[in-house]
Amino acid sequence: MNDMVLQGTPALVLDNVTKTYSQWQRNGKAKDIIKNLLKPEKRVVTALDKVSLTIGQGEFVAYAGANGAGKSTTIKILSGILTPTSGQVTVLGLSPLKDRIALMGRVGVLFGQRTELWWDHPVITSFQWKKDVWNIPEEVYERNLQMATELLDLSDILKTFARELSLGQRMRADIAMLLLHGPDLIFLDEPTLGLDVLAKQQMIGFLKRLNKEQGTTVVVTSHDMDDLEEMAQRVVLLNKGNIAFDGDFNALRDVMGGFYRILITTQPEMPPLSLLDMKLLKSENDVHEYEFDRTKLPIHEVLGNLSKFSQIRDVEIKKAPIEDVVANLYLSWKEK
Amino acid sequence: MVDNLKTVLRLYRRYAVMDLLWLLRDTRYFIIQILSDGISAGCTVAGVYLLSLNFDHFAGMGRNEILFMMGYALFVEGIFNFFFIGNNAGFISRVVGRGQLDHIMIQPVPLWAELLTQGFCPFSGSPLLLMGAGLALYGAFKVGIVMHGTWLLLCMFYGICSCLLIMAFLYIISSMAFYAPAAAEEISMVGKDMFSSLKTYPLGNMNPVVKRVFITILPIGLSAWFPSLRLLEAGVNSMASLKLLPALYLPAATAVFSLLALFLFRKGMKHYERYGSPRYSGFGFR
Amino acid sequence: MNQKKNILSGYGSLLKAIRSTMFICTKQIFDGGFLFVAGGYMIQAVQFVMLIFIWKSLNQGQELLTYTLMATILHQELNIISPATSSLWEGSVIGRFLRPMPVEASFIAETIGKWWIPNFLFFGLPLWLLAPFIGISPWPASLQHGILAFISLILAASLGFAIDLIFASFAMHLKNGCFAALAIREAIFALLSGEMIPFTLFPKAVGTVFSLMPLGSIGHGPLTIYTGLADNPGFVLGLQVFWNLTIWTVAILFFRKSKERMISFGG
Repeated sequence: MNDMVLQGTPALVLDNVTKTYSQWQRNGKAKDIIKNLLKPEKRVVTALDKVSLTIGQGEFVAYAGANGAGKSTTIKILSGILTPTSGQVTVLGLSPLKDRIALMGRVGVLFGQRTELWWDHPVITSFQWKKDVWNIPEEVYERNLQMATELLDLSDILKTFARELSLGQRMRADIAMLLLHGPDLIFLDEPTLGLDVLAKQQMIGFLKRLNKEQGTTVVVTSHDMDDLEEMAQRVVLLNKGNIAFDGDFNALRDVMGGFYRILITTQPEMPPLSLLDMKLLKSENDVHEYEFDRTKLPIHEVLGNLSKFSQIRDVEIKKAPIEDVVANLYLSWKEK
Repeated sequence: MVDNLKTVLRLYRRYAVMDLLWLLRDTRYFIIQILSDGISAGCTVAGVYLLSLNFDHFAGMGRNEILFMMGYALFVEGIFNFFFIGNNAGFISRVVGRGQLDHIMIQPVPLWAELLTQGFCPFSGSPLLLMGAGLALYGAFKVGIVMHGTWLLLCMFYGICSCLLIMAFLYIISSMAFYAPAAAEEISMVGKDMFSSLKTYPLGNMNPVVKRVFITILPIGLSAWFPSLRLLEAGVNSMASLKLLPALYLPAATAVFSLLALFLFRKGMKHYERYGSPRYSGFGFR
Repeated sequence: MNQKKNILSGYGSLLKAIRSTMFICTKQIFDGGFLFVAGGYMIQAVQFVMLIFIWKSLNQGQELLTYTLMATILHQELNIISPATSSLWEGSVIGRFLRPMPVEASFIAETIGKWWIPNFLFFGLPLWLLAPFIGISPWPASLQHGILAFISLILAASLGFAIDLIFASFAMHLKNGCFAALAIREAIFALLSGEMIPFTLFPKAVGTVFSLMPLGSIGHGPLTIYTGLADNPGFVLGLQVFWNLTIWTVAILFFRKSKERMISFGG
């Protein structure tokens, strides 16, 4: 199905998209019963505020943001489930609302907390159902089924009832089902939620391979920034309905000052070293962790400073965890 | 158009296969379902039939005529089960209220095609249809109707109209779930219960104004009583004895209710596309 | 922390827990706009109108109309469906086991809060006040009948909760087929409780047998006392006490036996 997408057509374009909702407000007091029944108080919430975004074919994009930032709303708009209040949306050259049926034949959508599997049937029956509903040609179905079965290690669970699968198994089966029609673009909303470390690694490995080998465009949302960094080349950060950052993960670190961490192991029972322009984060078992901004304090200067201390036994320099970077970012947005 | 028809047939075939697989795999539940259908049908019939035993010509109908009407009512219920009992297809307020329309929206088929076909249960949904058809035929036989092809076709046509009318009514009230998903989640179930429990009552001697209400805006009388009278008339006398306007009334009312349901549901869908569903529950999904 | 363990609930107060659970359920209904309550009441009203006009056409006396009026007003109390069964379907039953109050008390409080109070305020009371204007007497046959009917109603509701628990346990054993338990129960209730069709309209022998059965004590019992149709209210009350003792014993045994299974299934 990949040949159906015109070369050069972006995978998706959001042009000045705004989405507003109204929310009912309640104070929980019994005296307001009649008011609640007749004229409930409403508040308008802007889920997306003039968002513009273009994602090219073959990209692997992490779409992140704090709770309520507008991630799921975006995916619903891109899937034709929701209409934007204003702005234009194009996915694979199609309008999600007008061409929903044609579009759904070419994209795959997975909401991680939901399942498309048939609960009271074995996994393979759900796959056969998908073959009919998506009208997948026999040879395409067989090829994709074989690929998904191998790569996602499904052979043991194909005959198992969906209701009896563990969360990791269910997620693998859902991803496999998503791919049976060979979508050009997939939207994954929290695909690693609740998975254990191994299942998560398998899932990430599979998605990367899919993107690299099949050229499938992947847009994935998650709260786990480490997962996203491992998967995606590009990260789009949403804040209160606006795109607050769009670039790669290193650039994201730079936004927050290009912070690095350094772990210094000293001789036993030594107090932490006093180092200029470095902030001590913690000390434990003679290992002292500092943070520094490499844009202000280049690495060679750090090493030069450290060479003056003979009591140092070991040094390890690493990038600040992306989770911390983003947490600081969220905090700074919140304070604003 | 041809493509859509092909899609509908493809979906019907798939849902029929899945229903058969479920029946063969979960036979225990199928037996429980037959038992439940049987008890429900028995209790529904028993109440009004006991009334007819105590009152000669209860609400203008003889005992055997009431028996026929009970059979017709179960037959209509059976058609409903046959086509719409699976996946909450007949209880659409649940799908809307639980935010589960999203699952349908990500399928590359027209929404109406999926809603029309996803409830198809030709195997597990058939017991009540057979019970109803059996009782209706028995009642007709006891009344002394000579059952010829045209009469049977009319019986089937009216049965389908009554079922579609109920579905249209359920869609109309279910449209509320677009605006108040939590509150109206179960409204279609309540509406269906209303038809199930009240459609077996004959309305013959009722106050004419109230009777008109029950065959117009609240069409409970059209789901069994009114069509049964027409069928009894056509069967006992002759097809020619049927007056045109009363004979066409049920199909016409079905068309009006269906159009209204279409209008309101589409309006609701516009709202859904604009605001989405503020809640999601996976409960009962498939 | 200084609270003393009392006989009712361990730490804290059971009554407070029940009251709070009741009111949060009620407020939840009122917090959703009028649509939250309108649909169900409309359907009840339709059923009421239809039955009233059918009974009127039978010319069987004013008592029957009062009977159906009160059956409609007290529908929630006479046909108790607590969250016990639905919580099994949804798997939310486990949450009730985490509250510092008996699970049964949770179900009762939720039923009263979610169904009884809104139904009374928005449907029962207005209908009762409206009844004289549509030619139906809302009053009991006499003051004495009214008092006895109130006692009978309490016994009926108690019996209703017991039977609800039995059905919930039964549904538990049916697992995925528990929808059948609800359907069977609805159908049986509609016929055998006398809430919909008064037993006096059935052939005498059938009516008598139905009135002696446990479900007859739920609908037929209090309604015949209220309308004065009961020949011997004392016997009806005695029968209700008997069925309460019997059915509650069975319900508690059955429910406790199913509990462990219920939590593992629900969770």
